[in-house]
Amino acid sequence: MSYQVRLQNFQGPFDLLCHLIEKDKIDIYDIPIAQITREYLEYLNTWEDMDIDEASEFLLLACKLIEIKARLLLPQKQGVTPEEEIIDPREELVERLLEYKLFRRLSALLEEIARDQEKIFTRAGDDPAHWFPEGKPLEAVTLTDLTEAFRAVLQQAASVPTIPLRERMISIEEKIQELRQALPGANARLWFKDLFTKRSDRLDIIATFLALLELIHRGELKAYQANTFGDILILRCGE
Amino acid sequence: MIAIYQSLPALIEALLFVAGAPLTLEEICAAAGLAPDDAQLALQELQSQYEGEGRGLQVRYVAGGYQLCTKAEFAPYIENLLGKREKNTLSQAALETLAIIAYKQPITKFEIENIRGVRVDSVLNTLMEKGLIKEIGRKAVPGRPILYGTTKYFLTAFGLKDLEDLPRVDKEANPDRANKV
Repeated sequence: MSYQVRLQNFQGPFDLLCHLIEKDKIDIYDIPIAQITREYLEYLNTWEDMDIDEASEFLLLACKLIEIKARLLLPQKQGVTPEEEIIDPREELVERLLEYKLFRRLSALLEEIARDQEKIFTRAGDDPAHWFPEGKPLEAVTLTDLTEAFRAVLQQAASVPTIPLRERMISIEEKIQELRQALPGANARLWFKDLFTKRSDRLDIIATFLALLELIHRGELKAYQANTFGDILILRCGE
Repeated sequence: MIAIYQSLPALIEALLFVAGAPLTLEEICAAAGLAPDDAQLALQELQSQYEGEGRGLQVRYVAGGYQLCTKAEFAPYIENLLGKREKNTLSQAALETLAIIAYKQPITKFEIENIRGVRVDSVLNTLMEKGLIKEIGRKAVPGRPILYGTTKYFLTAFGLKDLEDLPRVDKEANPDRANKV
């Protein structure tokens, strides 16, 4: 290669790839992946003080190219019916390239019309602030407006009920009393799943379970389970 | 009656001169106390008066409004007067990004990056600072990414009537496509 183009001149990996394709007059619908990958990597190699942020974008496309080549080398699936179109692994790349090229042309058109506009002068001048109030978001906003707004936010914040967060203490003794209440007399019974409501949190469940074990241990309650993972029936023993 | 109609273009001319920025038809009607049809006729009359060789100004329709501005052929002399204006050209990266936003808005940063194949954070900042794009909402997908679109100033800066006025590229005229068998 007689000349070298510095990578920084390219707007990105697609720009570089488009450049290579145009330079070699390649049909974009039939890209020789091996050849274009080689040239692409050659360009990457000329990049000396590589900035990793920028380089990663170029390297990503290099990986993509190699992946496409690998997929092209794999044998096609056998027994493909004529209706099932064989998908060319290059298709997605081609589509992205075409879309990129479209926008590159559109940006050139935009630049052209911007050039024409530079020849036209208005009384408002070229300061966007004249026409574009959004450009100066704080224009016409006074200090009072800001303090008022801040006060409003504070008031709003104050009206939201706050809940002081404290570590909740749940004693097993408490839960034992609850269990005794839930099963008031001898032979009272209760399904295990009914011990917990939707509002029970993990701590509740653990404490209730420990209380249950404790009461079974003390002989106050008995538990029956018909089958594995089935619901457990809890029975209050006689006095 | 005829006398009134003859003075209407002059009235609108005065309004446009003072405004400087594009005035919408509604703004003109409100200020002049006119019905839209009458204002439209008067504007047409004013435009045809300016079209002649004897005038240095023109009334153009841009960014949804009417604006009084100079004719392009006098640019070199105006530059003599004001001094060459600071070249405010956009970089290639900024132009590409702006084109993508202009044609595909509303669009997220991720979608722009997908087309360009590079990160666009700093370019988006530049375009925002120049007042050419703005955040126009959030996309209803996880993460609620910001959606970008062009501003009214974008239309004015590029002399466009509205977004429909953006230059079109005939996809079929794409030379690459001709190669496809």
